[in-house]
Amino acid sequence: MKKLRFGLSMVEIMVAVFIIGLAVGPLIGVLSSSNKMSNASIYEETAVHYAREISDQLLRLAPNLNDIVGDAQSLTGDSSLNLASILNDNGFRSKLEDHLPAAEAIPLQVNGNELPVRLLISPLDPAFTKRRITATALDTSSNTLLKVDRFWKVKIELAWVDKNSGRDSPRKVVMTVLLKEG
Amino acid sequence: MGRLKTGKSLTKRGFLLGVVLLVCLLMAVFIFSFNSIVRQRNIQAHHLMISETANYLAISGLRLLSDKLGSSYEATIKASCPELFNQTAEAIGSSIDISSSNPICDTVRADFQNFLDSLDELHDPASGYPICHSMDVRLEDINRLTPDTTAAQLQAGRDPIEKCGQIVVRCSVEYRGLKRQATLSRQFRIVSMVPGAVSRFTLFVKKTPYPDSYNSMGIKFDGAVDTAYQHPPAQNKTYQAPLLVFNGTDTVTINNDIAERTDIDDKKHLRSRGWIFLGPAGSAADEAVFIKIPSGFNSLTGGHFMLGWPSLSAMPVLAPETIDDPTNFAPDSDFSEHEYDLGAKFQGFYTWEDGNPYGAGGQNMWPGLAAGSTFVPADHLRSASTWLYPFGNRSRSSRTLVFGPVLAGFLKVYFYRGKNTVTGATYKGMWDGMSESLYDSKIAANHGIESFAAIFDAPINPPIPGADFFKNGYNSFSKLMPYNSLPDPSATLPSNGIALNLIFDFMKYKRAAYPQLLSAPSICALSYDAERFLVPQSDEMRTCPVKGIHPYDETGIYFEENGQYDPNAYPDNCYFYGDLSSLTVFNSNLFSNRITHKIDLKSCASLAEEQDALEKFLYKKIGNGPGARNETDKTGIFLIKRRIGVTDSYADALKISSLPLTVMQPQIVIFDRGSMIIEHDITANMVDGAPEKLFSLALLNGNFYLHGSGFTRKIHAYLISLNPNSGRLLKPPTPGGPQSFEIHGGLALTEIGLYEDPMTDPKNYLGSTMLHFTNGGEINYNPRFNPSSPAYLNSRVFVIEDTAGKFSIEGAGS
Repeated sequence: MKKLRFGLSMVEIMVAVFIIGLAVGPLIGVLSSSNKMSNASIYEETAVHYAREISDQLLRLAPNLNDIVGDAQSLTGDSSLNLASILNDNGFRSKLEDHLPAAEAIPLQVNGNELPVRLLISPLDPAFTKRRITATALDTSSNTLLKVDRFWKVKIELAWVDKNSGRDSPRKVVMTVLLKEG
Repeated sequence: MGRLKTGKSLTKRGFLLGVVLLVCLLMAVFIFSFNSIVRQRNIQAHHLMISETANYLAISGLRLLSDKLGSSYEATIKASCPELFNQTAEAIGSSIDISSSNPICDTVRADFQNFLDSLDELHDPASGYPICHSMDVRLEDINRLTPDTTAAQLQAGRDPIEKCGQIVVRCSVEYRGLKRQATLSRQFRIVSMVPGAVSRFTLFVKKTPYPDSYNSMGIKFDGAVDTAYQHPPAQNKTYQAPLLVFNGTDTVTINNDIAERTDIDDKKHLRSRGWIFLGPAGSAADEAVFIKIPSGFNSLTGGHFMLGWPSLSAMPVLAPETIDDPTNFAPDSDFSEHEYDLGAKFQGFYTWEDGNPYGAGGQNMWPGLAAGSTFVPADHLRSASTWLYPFGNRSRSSRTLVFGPVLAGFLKVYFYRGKNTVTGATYKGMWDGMSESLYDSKIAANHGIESFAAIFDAPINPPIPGADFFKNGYNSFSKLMPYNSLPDPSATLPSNGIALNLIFDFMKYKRAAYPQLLSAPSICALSYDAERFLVPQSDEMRTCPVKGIHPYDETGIYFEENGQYDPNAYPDNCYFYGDLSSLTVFNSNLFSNRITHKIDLKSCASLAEEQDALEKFLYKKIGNGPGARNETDKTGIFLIKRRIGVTDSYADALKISSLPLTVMQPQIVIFDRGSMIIEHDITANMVDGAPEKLFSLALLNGNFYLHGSGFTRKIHAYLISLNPNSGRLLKPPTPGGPQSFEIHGGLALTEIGLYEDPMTDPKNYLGSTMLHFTNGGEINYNPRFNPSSPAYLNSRVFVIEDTAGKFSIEGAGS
C-alpha cells in the first residue's frame, strides 16, 4: 500500500522560497533606503535645530550688538573691530565646532580675548563636521533707509557626513539672519 | 477516497502559498508604509529647513523695520498720523494703518529686498532669491489713557490726548515657495514728556518755613551785595548772589523806545511764561509769604526797580506822594525865606530805565531831581532783601504770575526840595538813614537839616535847624528814613499788605495806567473779567482781602484760552484743577498710567550695581577717557525701583549719571525712593533759547544733591521732589560741590527757604537750599514744559512699552 504524502516537496519549498525571495529582496532594499532617508532627515532636522539655536541667540543679542562691539574694542584697544571680527574669529569658530560632551555657554571672543557675552551651544553630534557662523557686510549703497548703519548677513552653516548613507560627501544646512550694528 | 486525499494535500499547499504571499504582502505593506513615513518625514525635514529659513528672514525683516521705526518713530508716526498727538482716542477711531499713509514701510521693504537679493547661498534655481512681499504697521485698540474726569484725576493732572494701544508690525517673506509672516505686537502709549502740573511753574515751592524765609540778602543802597551783612537764620552766612528766576526765553529790554504793551500782548506774555508758586508760610501753612524787594542799580542783584515807566508822558502817574505832616515836621512858613515840599516814592527792582543808571537818585523819582554826587551807596537797608528774585534782573526782565499768599515788601524813599524865596536858589535831597544816637549827636551840635539828608543839590540858606524841623525828634526823623515796607505778619492768611502780583500788575502794564497802590488795583478790575485772561480764579483774586493775591488751593491750569474754564463742563480743556500745595509726585499723573518703563534694581546687591544697571539701561556711552559722556537714547517715563532699604540719605543717593549727560531723547526719570546726586552737567541742544528735548528728574522721597567740580552746575532739566519729608536741593554733606546752579527747565521742591530758628527745622541736619547756595543761581523756564503753550503739542511722544510684546510666526497665505 502506497503511503500517502502530506508534506511539501523540495520543489514546492524552493518555489516558496523563491517567491519569498522575490518579495523580500526588494523590500529589504526599500527598507535600507528608508533607513538611510530617515537618518538623513534626522540629521537635517538636527542641523536646523542647531541653526535655530544660534539664530535665536543672535537675534536676541541684536539690540546690544553695539555694546558687544564696543566691549571688544575697549578690551583689545582696536577700534577697527566690528561684528565680523567677533563672529568670524577663529578661536570662536573652533569652539563652535568642538564636539562637547554637554551643552556649554561659549564666550564670544576676538583675537583670543573673551567677551562677557556667551552663546549657549548644544553638544554637536559626532556626524556633524561643521557648525560655523560667518558674518559678511551687506551692501547698502542702493538702499534708501537701511543705509546709515552697518548691516550684516550672518550665515549659519551646519554640515554632516552620514556614513550610513554610503555617501562620503557632507550634506549641509544654511540659515541666514540679517542684523544691524549701530 | 484517493482523490479526496489528493484534494486535501492540494488545499494545504495552497494554504501555505497563501501564508507565504500574505507574509510577503504584510512585509511589503509595512516596509512601504515605513518608506512612505520616512519620505514624508524627509520632506518635512526639508520643509522645516525651508520654513525656518523663511521664518528667520521674516524675523530679520521685522526687526529691521521695527528698528527703523524705533529710531525715527516719532517723526514717522507724527508724519503718518498727526491726529494721534492732537486728538482724543474717540476722535480718531480704534485703529490706524501707518503703512498706507507713510512710505517708510515700502521703502524699508525695498531695502530689505536688496539685502535678500544678495543672499546667494539661499538662491534657488527654480524660485530665485527670497522675496519680501510686504511690511506693514498698524495701530490698534487705541484708547484714552485717562478717561477719568473726577476731581481726584484733575488734582493729579490730566492730558485728554494721552492714549494707549497696540502697534502691530508685520513682515512677510517667501522662500522656495513657502511664505511666512512674522508679526510683532507691542503696547504703545502716547504720553507727554511734561511731568505734571508743577511744570507750569518756573519755580514751585510747596511750603515756606516762615514769612520772612526768603529775605536773607544784604543789599546796599546802590543795589550792591552787602558782604558785611550776616543773616542770623542762615547761621550768619553772607549771601553773595541771588537766585534769579527767568520765566521765559524771550526778554525785553525796557526802554523808552519800545512800544506800549497791549492787552493782547499781555495775554500772550502771561500765557507763554512760567509761573511761580510759593507755598504758604508757617508750620500750619496758614501764613503769608513776604518778599522784600530791594532797591538798587546793581546788575548782579537785579537792577533798578521802578513801579512805573519813567517817561515824561507818565509824569502825573509817577508823581511821588506829597507829605503834609505838620505834626512831625515844621511847615515852611515857620522858616523865613523858605519854600519846600516833602515827598516819598516807592522803590524796588524790576524795570531798568534806559539812560538812568542812578535809579532813585535819577530823573523822575522827583521831578527835576538830578543825580547827586554825594549819594552814599554804602547806605544799608534796614532789613535783608529777598534772595529769591522772581522777576529776572535788570537786563533780562521776566514778569510772571505768582501763586500763593505772597505779599511784597519794598523800599520807600523820601525827598525834599525847596528854594530860597529871596534869591530863588533851589535845593533838593534824599533823606538819609541813621541811628538815634547819631541823630541825637547832630541835634546836640545844632546841625541843620541838610546834615540829615543824603544828597543836596545846593546848600540850604538860610539854615533850617534840625531840632526845629523834626518836631517830635527822632520819631519824626525816622518817618523820613528809607525803609522796607512790610506787611503785618499775621497768624492767619493775609488780610492786609500789598500783593506781589498787584505791584507788577502783570495784566495791565501800560504807560498810562500804572497801579495806584493805595487805590483799587487794576488787576482785579471788573472790566478784566470780560477779557478772558488766562488767569484762573480772577474772581477770587478780586475778592481776596488783599487784592491781587492769587489763590492756590483751588486753582486751574488750562490748555487753551477759550473761556472754557469750568472743569466739569469742559474737562478736556483742563490740565489741572485742585490744590497746588497738595501735589506730590506720587499723587500726580506721573503715577496714574503714564509710566512706560520700570527698571527694577531691587536685585542689585550694592549702590555700584544699581548705578551700573541704571546707566546701561537709560543711556548710551559716547567715547572713553576724559571726554566720555552719556547720552539719553530712549524716550519714555522711567520708574526706577531701587533696592529695599534705601533711605533718602546722601550715602544711599544714586547718581543720575556718572558722566556728563547729554539729552538726546526726552525722558522723565523717577526714583521710587532715595535721593539723587547730580554730579555732572546735564545739557541739551538749545533751540529758541531753551532745551529742545525735555528731561525731567523726579524723586518720590528724596533730595537732590549737587556734587562734582566747577562753580556752577548746569542742569537742562526739570527737577521735582515734593515729598513732605524730603524734597530739597542741597550740597553734599562733605565739602565740595558746586556753589551755584543754572537750571534750564524748572524747579519744584517741597521747600527751599530758611527757618527763622534753624533748630526748628525737622531736617536741620540737612539744611536747606538757601542755606547751602549762598551764591545763588538761575532758574530759566523752558516754555516747552508749559501745558498752556502751543509747544505742548510737541511734548507728546510715542513710546513702546517695555512690557512683553506678542511675537508670532505664521503662514502668510497665498
